[in-house]
Amino acid sequence: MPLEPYDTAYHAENSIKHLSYHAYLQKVTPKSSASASSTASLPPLSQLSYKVKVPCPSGAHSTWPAGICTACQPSAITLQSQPFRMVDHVEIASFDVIDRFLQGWRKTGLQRFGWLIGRYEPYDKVPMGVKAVVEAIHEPPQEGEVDGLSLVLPWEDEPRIKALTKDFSPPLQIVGYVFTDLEAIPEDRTKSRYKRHTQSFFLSSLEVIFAAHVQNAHPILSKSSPTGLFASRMVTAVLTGTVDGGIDMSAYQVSEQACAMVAADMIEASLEPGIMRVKEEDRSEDTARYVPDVFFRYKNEYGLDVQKSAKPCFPVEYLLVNVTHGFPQNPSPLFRSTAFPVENRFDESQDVQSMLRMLSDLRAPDVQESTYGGDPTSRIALARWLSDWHLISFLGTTQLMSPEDVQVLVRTATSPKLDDSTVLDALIRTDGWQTLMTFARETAPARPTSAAPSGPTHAAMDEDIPQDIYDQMAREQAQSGGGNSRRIGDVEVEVADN
Amino acid sequence: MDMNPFGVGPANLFAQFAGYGGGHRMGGPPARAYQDYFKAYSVAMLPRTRDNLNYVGQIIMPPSALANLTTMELESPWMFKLQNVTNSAASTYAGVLEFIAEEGCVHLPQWMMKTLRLDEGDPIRITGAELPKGKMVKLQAQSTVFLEISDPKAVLEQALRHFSALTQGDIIEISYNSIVFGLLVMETHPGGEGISVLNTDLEVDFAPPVGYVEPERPKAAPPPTMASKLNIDLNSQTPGSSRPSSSLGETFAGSGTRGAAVSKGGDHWESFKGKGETLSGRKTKGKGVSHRKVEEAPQDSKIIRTDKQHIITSDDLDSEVSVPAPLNIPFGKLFFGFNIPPYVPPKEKDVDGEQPHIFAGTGNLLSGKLQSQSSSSSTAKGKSKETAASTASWGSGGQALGSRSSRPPVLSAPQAVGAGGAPVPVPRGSTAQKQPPPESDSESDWGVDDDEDVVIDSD
Repeated sequence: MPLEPYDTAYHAENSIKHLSYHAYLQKVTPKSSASASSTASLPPLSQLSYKVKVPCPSGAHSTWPAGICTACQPSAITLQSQPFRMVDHVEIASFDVIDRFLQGWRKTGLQRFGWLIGRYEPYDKVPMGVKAVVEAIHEPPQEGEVDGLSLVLPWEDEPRIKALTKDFSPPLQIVGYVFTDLEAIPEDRTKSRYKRHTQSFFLSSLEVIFAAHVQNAHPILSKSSPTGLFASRMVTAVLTGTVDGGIDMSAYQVSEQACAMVAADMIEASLEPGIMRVKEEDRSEDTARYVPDVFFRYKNEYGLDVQKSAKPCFPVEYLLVNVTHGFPQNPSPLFRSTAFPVENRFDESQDVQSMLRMLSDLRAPDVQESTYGGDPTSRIALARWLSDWHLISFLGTTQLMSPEDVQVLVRTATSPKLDDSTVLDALIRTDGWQTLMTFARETAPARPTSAAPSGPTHAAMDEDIPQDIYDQMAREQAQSGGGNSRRIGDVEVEVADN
Repeated sequence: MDMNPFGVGPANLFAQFAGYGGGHRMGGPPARAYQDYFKAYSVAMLPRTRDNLNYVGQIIMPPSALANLTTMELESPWMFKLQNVTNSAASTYAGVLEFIAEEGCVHLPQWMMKTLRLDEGDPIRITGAELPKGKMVKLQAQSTVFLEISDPKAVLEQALRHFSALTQGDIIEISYNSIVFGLLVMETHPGGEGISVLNTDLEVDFAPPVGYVEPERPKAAPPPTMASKLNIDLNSQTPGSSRPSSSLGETFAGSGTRGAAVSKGGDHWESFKGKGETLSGRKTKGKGVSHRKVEEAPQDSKIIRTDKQHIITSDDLDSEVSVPAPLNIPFGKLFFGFNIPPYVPPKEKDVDGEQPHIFAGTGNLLSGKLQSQSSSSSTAKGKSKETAASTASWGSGGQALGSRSSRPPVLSAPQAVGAGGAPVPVPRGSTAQKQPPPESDSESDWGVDDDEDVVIDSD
């Protein structure tokens, strides 16, 4: 007989630690739909809340923090491993995505943070599973340190990025975040220290609280919950060292209990990464906090299952949910270019001039619509170069292209066949693109590749200025990013201002 | 067989001179032919002394020497070997600067006087010499002031223009900017006696000057970590309980050791010093109270020490767990710099599952029969034999109380204390027999306080 999607034996066999969300939903939904019992029509899921109910349902006493009763206080919590998880697998579309993110760490030695941008798809290895496919990593403004990082909050660009992701087809969204926790071993600087293992910790208490905040901020819509919201699909990914010194990713989510506890402000991080502290009860007016009894069960040294109070601290593992991760066998990433510099990086900068210069390097102004012919290789190269999340996101900030044009660009850049000659046509026809091309043309230092150095934007002094002077000028201009007069030796060259 | 590099004919004349050494000389007597004795004076004794003469590598000779040299038709450049008559080991090579000295006297630069260990007016023997052209010389400045010169090579070039020869082991003196620098000629190539430095391309190598200390490179400051910026103290802990009174309990119970010196009447008079004798006759010397400190109980033990204050609260009795301190970092900051124990890979399990060989070795029954003890993995019968043997095998190496020999059977404290405190022998399968300490070592061995385990020989 066919197995239920939440069959425990199957899961144990295939070492699937948690049910997928939909399987869990099926499990808790009462099956008897024939009988019109009231319980069948109730939404089965419920959002956990460990806050004191204000005002008290019984209404018999003044509200918290003045008074409390069993009706409004949260019940005792028994920490247990969450049976289900919202996301079962994280798939990175291609190695380039992670590699580019790691460049930030490689160049500076400081830890980096990035928001994962992708979409959700069904995952077939787990019954009714959900996987998050990560297409790009967007790095927000942050300050990295050797042993930590600080995000610049609030992230002002967030609404714009979120709106931009929706323009894609299929629409993308922020599916989680990733950060590096890499430390090079002093003896062999190519290897990273194996920091997170069974004897130390997997996700520190601080990171669990951070994840809980993020998960609380991004709940999913669900019909099966009375509030219409439930849990969250945000994934926490860590890039850390392996036993052999390589770099590998681990992905986690935190359990609903953790999210509820953080929402009720009951727990705090500790200096010992594998331990979570429980805050103390507080009945002052402003920072009132009610902390119910928290227990957790474990097997003590005699092999007995005992329950212990989680106050003042408890191991963090009770709050974690494992998520598998992997790379596809045949990567077909949405974004195929890695040329454009990444935003908010210390040593790379995105600016219009360099972008225009790159465009002119690609001979973008010369690429016309396919009907007018033109060089197919440069067309393909340009199409490929445009397929870059960071470029698209940057163009949005420059306001060189209107939002509609950006949408056209988005569609172009993410089209599956970039070799097709017609793929750029729609883009070229947009006004925004034409504006860009005009700028690009003017930025180009009109190198005398084929024609004599008497272009309209270039006032040559002498006929016999040698070639290398021109190259030098081009380089100088490229360095300064366009602009006014240049003095090279005794030759004063004037270049048209943009 | 005579070497005849000049060919036949008129060269034969020169062949006679070939024996005098050196074949390039085309005419004139060998340099060594000139020899004379003078009285050596420093250049300060010149009627019109010039200080710069002190910093050259050349001497001032009388005009008669000039006459002699020209008559002899000695090859120029004229190089001389100067030797101290009384101390013929002290010698150096030099050229000649001028011939304005008084008769019978030569004037030497001050450093040359020093090198030759000459006093004013001492006799000196001067012999002509032929020196090979120098290729390389290694100099060592005698003071670190030399390092202050911006262009030492140029300075040396200038100075060495006034030198005709350099001798290995000399300390020459040069002057620059009215500072005198001493330079030790450490090595010369070609080695040997001296080298000529006239018209040569001399390679100069500098050794670190005397008294030069490698400057300490300031260590690069460690990059600022988040821990330092946010003042995260990775080792701080908070008391297990939230009760305020218990925090006091923790600090007191966890405080460090006080000095164990027991003072009597305010003095540092320590008891248990002086000689003593153990029951077995071993002489011991007390090391005093302060030598052996009171054994510290581990942090979480229930032992109460009376010299430390100990405040107990009910929470302490419940749980003496110390909880790691909170890490209060605002949202948006992540910290990774925790103290993490390094990863210890799980030990490989032995494939065969060898069991430790306890009870291996020979033993004796009380009756004196020799018993060979097999390893623990033997049959039950063997085991019972073993157990019988092990408990009874005192071995032949035991000592009666009172006899003077190897270590007395001092109680080894934590292990094996039987009922009433009688020592129970712990059979050490195949341990080597400990030699009795030689008499000479017993001086340092005094001290009943030794906690060493005693091996009761169980042969």
